[in-house]
Amino acid sequence: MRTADICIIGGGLLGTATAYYAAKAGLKVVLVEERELASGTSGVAFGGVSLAIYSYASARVPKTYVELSKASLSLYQRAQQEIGPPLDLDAPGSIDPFYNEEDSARGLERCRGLQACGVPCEFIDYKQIKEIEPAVAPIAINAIYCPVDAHVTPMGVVWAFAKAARQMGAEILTNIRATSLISRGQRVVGVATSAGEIFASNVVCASGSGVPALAAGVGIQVPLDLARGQMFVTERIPPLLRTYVHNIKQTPSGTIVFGTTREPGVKDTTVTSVEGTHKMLKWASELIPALANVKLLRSWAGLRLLPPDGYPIIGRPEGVDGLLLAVMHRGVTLAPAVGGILTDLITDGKTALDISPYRLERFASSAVGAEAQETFYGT
Amino acid sequence: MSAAVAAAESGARVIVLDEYAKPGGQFFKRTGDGFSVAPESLTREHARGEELRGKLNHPNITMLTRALVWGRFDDRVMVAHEGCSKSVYGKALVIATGAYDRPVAFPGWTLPGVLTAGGAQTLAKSQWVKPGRRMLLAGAGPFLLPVALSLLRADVSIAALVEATRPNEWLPHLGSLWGQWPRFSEAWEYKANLRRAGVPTLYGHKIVRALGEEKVEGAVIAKVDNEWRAIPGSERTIEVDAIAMGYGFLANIELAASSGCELRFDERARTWFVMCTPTMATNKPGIFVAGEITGIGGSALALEEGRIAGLSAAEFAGMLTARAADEQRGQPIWQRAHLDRFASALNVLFGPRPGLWEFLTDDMTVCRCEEVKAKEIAACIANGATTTKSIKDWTRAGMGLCEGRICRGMVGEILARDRDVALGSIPFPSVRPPIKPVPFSTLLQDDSQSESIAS
Amino acid sequence: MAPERTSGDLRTAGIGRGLPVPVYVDGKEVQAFEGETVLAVLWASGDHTLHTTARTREPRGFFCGIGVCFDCLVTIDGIVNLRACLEPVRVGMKIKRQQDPGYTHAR
Repeated sequence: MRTADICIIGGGLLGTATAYYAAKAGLKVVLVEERELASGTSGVAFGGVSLAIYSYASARVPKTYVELSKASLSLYQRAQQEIGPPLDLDAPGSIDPFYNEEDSARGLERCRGLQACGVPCEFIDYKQIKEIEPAVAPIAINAIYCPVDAHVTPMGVVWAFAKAARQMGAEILTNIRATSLISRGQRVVGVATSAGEIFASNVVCASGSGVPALAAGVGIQVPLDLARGQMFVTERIPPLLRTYVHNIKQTPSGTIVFGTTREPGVKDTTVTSVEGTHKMLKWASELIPALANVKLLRSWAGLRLLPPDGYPIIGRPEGVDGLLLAVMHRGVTLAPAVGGILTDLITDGKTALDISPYRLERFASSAVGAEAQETFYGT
Repeated sequence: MSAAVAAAESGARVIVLDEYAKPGGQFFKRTGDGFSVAPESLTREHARGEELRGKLNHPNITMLTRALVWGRFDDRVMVAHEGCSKSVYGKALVIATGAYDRPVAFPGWTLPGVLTAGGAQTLAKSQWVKPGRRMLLAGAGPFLLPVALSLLRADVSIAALVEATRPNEWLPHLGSLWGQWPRFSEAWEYKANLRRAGVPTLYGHKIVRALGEEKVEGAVIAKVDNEWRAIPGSERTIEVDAIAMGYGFLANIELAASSGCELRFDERARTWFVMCTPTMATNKPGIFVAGEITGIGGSALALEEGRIAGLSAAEFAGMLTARAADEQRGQPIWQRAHLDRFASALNVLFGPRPGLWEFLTDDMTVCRCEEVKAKEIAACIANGATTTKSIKDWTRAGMGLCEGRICRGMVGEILARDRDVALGSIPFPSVRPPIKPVPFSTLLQDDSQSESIAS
Repeated sequence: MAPERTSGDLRTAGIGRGLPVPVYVDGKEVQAFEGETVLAVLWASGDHTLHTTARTREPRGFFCGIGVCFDCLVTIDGIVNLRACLEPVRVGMKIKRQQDPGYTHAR
């Protein structure tokens, strides 16, 4: 039996980031992860930490969301200083390309909206794209260029936060499965695990696809759609990309990593498909023609987490005390901010950023906003 | 080849996909087109190989060479061939992807001129180029003998053949070797050739260092104890310009693994194979296996397993009744059991011993592709890594072009040692397509005209 | 007995080779023969460094010789990271010993 101020379920980006900020705030932290760190969605994500890149259909990114992303990027920069490798934040800027007039028009609108929120970005034409990133083909007629956008290797971030959290006294336990939440009346008081019980005044569910089942155990419904995402990596090649282009990047070792498909309703999310491979390779090589002679080295697939309206689910659900939820799309970008927010909620009962749009209870009210859908999931 | 012939003769339409330019794999390697070699220079293996290749001309068999199977998805295999990616459908699949020399790291092993025994043999036998003017052959087991012969025939001078085991260790196993007279007479012939060529054989020794700056200039060998650990003070330097090492084989199980076939860890061979029944079936209906991927056993065993697998595949595809298949499988199944006993004895005698891994420390390069040293892997384990996958994710060992084939075994040995766990308890890492690297242009040149065949 | 240090082809004498196939190795024209692999041509020349590694610039030759280890990497007709042991020579082929790509970044 263990006790802690905060028990975190899930050893991915959100869990380890929360462990880090909570330990930093002096809380006694225990994190349980059912397999190895980053073995879920965090281990298969692309790794973009982006203020500007969204689906092609998105014309407007809500201000609160932009603020959340900006805060997160800023925390990443600070964490990079404080922790160092293997966090390895790389900030070469990003290019989000558009292939037709319709998408371009939406992109321009999006860009203006981001600028109004203080995000440094520019709407550029192909000539300008080519100056920044010569490898991009003219099928990109316009793009949003954001010089501060960054990327990471998600696993590296997870290990970095875990290492730093441990150094500050957090217990990070792997190969221990959280089987259910322990509650007394309307209060969650701990977690039952495969290695005994852990009692904590705050329990954080950050286990991705595992969150709905755990929450349901105390009567909380968490709507979460799942989809398969396929990712790909090439052999090491000479320097080709300086920035990253939508979801195509060159890693420090020289490999090109790109993806991702979004396939709802696919049963086996651990295997890749011929169709997915073909689709992604076609897209990547049309956009970056130099990839034609490059060899594909590996593919992998994993679960993508999709709250119905695209927004994150963050905070304390109503009706139950002692519980905090953190599950979302674009977790790579938002992880540090979420870790900070959850820590604030525990230590101060409130947080500086506006997280009202991310309350779980929003799903009970009116229909899911189509606009938000387009922003995050597009076509 | 054996499986294809057996299936074709049962009436099945067969398509054979081989990554190399000519069928024959490693056992029946042949020279490239254009070479003309005097008959005395060819081995008995060559004749057997030619005979089998001849049978591939069967009307039911379509042969595609330089055809790389890069993945199996649900109902088809994907093949990279002539710059295109083709779908191949079939009712049954036989995987017989063979084996490669077991990589063993030792100081200087990455120098140009340090080769595997198989690599040395291939260059000498198929290309008639000397891997070196004066070579050292080092390792354990009978494979060193035909390699030595191929090298001598290519006019290579062999300074010594260094064998880790000692003859007195073979005596307890004579019982299992009974009834294998053809193998003995082969070995005797090989040894006679070595004697005639004046090649000394040193038993109870191994290579401990390759010398040289830009390429091999010498080799240091040392006496070993029964666990193959070098005995300090027994080192000796030999001037050579190439070193071929042969410590057994690892199986190319990647395609079978990525297709979901269950694997088995073999304690004596200290590596993973594909699990199969006596009829060469795997746990996946319709997928059969044959040859070295079921266990290292030599060409005679592979031929029998091929025959069994071909018959089983034809039966699965509905071209043979169960009764007819059982009848025809009887003989090869019996042969297989007989040959397997011999193969097992060899594995026990010549299988890797702990001293083989004594150099996996400090600055020893373990992952050749990504240049990852043993100390980086050890640090990763000290930080909590418990699987080959974690080590790969953390250090990049296994993320290079060879996709872990060279370093995976050694990473496992380091894990087993540092965490004090059994090697077999470390799961074989999951394999995802492409099984080997394939250019984008090939993958995008999708030949939608699919080949639909029965096996 | 010291190995011969004279330069000279490592091809075994007395073996009939195929038709001559001229190829280029690092810009120089070299005589190869039909049926040979790129590895055979490079190895026969006695210059056994096929490439140097990305991180430490270590010289490498070949290791497994059968297309498994990807150690015998060369650049052929502009395409990097090809296995010399599997590539058959073609007339006019441009073979280059390579410095392996990787671990250097554009920025």
